[in-house]
Amino acid sequence: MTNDEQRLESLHREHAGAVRAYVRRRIGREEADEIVADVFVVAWRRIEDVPGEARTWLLGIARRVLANRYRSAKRQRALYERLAREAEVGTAVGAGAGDGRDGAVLRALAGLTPADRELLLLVTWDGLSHAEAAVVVGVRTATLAMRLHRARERLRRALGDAEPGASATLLTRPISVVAGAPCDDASNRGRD
Amino acid sequence: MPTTERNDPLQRLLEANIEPGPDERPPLTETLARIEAANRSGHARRVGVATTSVRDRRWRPRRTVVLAGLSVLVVVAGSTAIVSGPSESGRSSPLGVLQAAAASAKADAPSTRFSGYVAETVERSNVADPTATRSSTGEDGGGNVTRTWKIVRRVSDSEFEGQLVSLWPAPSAAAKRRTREMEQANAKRPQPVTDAVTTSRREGDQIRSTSTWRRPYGTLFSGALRPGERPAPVPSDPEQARRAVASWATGTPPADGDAGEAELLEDAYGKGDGTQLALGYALSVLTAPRVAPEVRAAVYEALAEVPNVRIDPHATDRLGRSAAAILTETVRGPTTTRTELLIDPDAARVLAERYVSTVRPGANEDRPPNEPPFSEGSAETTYRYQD
Repeated sequence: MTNDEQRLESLHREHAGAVRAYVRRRIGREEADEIVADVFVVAWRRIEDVPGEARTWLLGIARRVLANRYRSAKRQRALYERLAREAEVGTAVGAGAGDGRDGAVLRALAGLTPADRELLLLVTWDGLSHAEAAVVVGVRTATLAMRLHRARERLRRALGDAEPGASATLLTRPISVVAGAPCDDASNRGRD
Repeated sequence: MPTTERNDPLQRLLEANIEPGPDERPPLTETLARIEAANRSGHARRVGVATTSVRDRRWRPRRTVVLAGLSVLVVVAGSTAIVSGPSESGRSSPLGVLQAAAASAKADAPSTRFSGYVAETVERSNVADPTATRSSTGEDGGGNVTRTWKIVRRVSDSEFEGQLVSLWPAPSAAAKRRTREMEQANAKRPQPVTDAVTTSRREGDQIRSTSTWRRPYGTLFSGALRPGERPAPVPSDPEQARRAVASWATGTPPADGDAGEAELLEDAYGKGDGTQLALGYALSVLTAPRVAPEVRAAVYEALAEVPNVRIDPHATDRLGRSAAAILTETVRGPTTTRTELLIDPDAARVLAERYVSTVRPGANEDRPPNEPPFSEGSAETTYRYQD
């Protein structure tokens, strides 16, 4: 076995589970393994390009593979539809029931743009830091933090709609951003 | 320090994970099978114990694979033209105030210099819920109020310390549990390194989060950077600064500008919104510490040429300081945002930046049933300088 093949095996052993979890959260279980295989085929082709922080690099590849594969509008809605279904379950169970199904937040998440959803999921369900999420999305950490802030405020606003009386926040112009701080800017967005 | 915020959306999202927990890795066999299939069709090198690598047969992924999926978050904004030149009520022309600021900067009096500042942002919003009988109320006169701080502090003759401080509600027990699980799962995972040091500490029912880094004087304020990323330099040549403002005013990044700074500005204001981009760039340069006086003067002079701005010479910032406001308006859908850069022409300093958003009457009542409401509010950042 060559060094590159050992490297591929090592990458797969260490990160295939994380890649699968990332994919599964977006399209469900049915096709997850297929996508993971696609990701590692790309990794094989580009084995010399795989950086030390391989996990975020692989998630970035997974993101692009998903985007290529699910380009049609109908398939893009896979996560949306799933969230909508889960939201109904969550509404029936009720937030805080202990199983994590918060129907209002899932419904609000489903109502956001795919780009906003992706950022929010990267730093919550996928457990990435701002710096890691920036690698996956392919932007600077500062830019990621700014985009995340806006996505977070749009989620807050959507939650405000779901829960009359809750906060809905003005989106204003970013001043500056940094990794690590949950929100480091104000951003000047009217409604896009 | 009054800050109100409830139901942090990221915490709630963390608790609402419909697919928690790590996955078992799938078998490698499917990957190997695909690579072999590609080999048979001549598209990839072989892999496996019994195969031989042929480095020169390796093919590179198509560019489309690499670039596909980059999300487009920035929506190009339309802007409302506000006529430059003498404003209403006989107020002075843009050129007058901005020329005065340029002259002050050129004079390089001690009052125009600074090595640092504390900038406090106060953001207010009122829930736009047409079903509610009134807006939610909070401290500081109603609505929800959040505060953040941006601090630049001299640490040596050549370096300053940048700092961002935020206050957030402390996480719920469920969010803490999820966070702990993720930390345990990720304990051995190498993290991308940035040059910022981030600390958090609890203050009552809130968390104070602080990120700190060092930068050389002569660079613009930016967030954390990864290895290989460089902070954007402040223009050292007045003509370069002038060209940069003019270029941004057309919605185009300057050809000799910093790519990272361009990304930040376009992300903030939207690609193509020239007036906003020019004001944003000018703000970055004018609030950078220890910028050459002639460069600051050039920026003020260049602002006078930016279309769709006007001047209110009798403005006041949140701290009650008299200022001249360089202002413009942007319309996105039913939301109009008024942007103001408040300056002290005598000290050639930016005192504040202010954004006020209003919603066209009836827009919320007329919106589709599943659309979130449009919100109104304001954000103002006030700068207090240190010599």
